[in-house]
Amino acid sequence: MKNNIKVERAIKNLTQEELSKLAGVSRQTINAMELNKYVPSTVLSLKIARIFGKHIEEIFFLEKDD
Amino acid sequence: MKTRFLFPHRYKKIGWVLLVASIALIIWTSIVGDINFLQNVKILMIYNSGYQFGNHAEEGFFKLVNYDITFSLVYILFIAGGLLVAFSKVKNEDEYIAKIRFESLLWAMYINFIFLILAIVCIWGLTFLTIIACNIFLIILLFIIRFHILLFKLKKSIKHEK
Repeated sequence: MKNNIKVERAIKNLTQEELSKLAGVSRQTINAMELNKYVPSTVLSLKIARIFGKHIEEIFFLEKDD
Repeated sequence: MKTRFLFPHRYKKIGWVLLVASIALIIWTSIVGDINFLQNVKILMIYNSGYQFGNHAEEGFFKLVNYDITFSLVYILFIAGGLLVAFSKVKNEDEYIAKIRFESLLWAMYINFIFLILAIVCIWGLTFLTIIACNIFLIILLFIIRFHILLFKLKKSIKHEK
């Protein structure tokens, strides 16, 4: 799964630290998601979509081999 | 994050204290000498098969005897401390940390049993028994080391990012 958290974060002008606090996770988790090293849980994906005020599919995308 | 089977974060410090105490105790007894008040403690044995760590006691069930409890104390301190250090929540425990925790545990399990298989194949005699005794602690030690190295690496890696 891929995501454009980094882009959305730039649009909202949030740092990783600020986003992590809003989502209630560690900064390491946000960083790992942006680097596509970690696939978040459904709960976290929904939370992040809500923070950005978008639908979940606008932020997270399936890849070919998913 | 809601987690089952993990201790609250504040228990981690207690765990480190117990762990260090157990290691200090074993170093003390091997360098400075035995600790007298631990060597003759009256305890109730549920079962004793006769011989353990140089102690001799009558064989049988439910016997009140004097016994050297130094090693028992080291074991208990180490296991309790190790469990608390390993399975207390880190400050910002979340789902990614949980994944790292799980993978570290798996890794520790594999390495532990690889060691054990190597010991079974290569080492014979009384040394083998010593190795089995150490093997009990190895898994927890391996997990603690692996988990904390990964956490440290993560912390370091995000310092460069903005």
